[in-house]
Amino acid sequence: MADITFTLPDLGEGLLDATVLEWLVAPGDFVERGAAMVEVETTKSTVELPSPRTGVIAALHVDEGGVAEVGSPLVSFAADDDQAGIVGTVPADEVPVRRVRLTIPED
Amino acid sequence: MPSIRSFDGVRISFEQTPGERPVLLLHGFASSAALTWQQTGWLRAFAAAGTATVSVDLRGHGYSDKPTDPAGYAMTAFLADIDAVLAEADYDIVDVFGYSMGARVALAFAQAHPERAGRLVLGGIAARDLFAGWNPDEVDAILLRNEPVADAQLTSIVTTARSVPGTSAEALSALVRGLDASGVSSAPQMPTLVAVGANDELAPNAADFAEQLSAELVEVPGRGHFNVLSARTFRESILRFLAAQV
Repeated sequence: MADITFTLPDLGEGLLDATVLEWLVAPGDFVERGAAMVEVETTKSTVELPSPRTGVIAALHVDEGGVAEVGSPLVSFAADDDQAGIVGTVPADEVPVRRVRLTIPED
Repeated sequence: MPSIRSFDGVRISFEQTPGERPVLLLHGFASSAALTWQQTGWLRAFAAAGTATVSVDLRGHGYSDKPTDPAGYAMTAFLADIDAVLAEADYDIVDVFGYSMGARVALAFAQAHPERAGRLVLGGIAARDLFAGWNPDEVDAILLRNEPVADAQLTSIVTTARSVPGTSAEALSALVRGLDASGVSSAPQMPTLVAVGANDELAPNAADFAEQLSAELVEVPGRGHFNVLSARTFRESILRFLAAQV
């Protein structure tokens, strides 16, 4: 078994790092893709990052209270050997894109 | 993102998610529905709980229009916006959850329409006035001219507010001058929860406030005004309160 590692995403606002407030998963946990995984704080807000994949957590790379830099390892999942060596980025929970209003306003 | 035009022509943007027992979500000063409810994981938590949501970008914020006249920020205007959004969503009765300035609006809504609010959650506020100790001229110095003032806490808060993407310094300045959100007249008539970070420097003495409102109280250890929203214990306490039978 090897690991698949995900890094801290760019959270926007020109921020270079974030503080890990609380891990909502632990090594050995089975986690579904999209489930709440970790809570991080920037200078402007807090963000809950969802799990980037379904699988078993192998390692957390930043302690609670520690600072993670954008692009540095955040979490690893256990993986089959044929998937070893993959490095991805945890997706930020994107602000929804504004949708175009299709109906014509009354006024 | 849908929107409606309010009584004075101001366009109010809002977002809905499906489910039962709808909850109206009202964000804080200089924030937005996306920052307060989406990024923090609240919409995911409500979806998992099967709770419908209506999250509003309050006037002056997010994708909503941003008047620059203080007269555009009377509490009655915020309440009229909510009426219009709830009419568009076709909800007569909702639970209401506001954070910080949004909690002031939530409380005003619950007191203006006690028959329309099922359960009420007030996050990140206490008895003191919203914007207590904020000198509008100093706020303008920071917002409009980026000049620090002697009050370090005010400088810090308003500088951060100013730097949130999408905010309008002119609109926030007008809001601080125009919104009368002082004091609390009487206890709400519906079940009410006050929920704060135990270290919230903007909501001191929350226990006294909860008692004044005959409300339940949750204080989350180790958290302050700006980082309690995504805390697990904060979320679980509020979801449990909202799930209780009316």
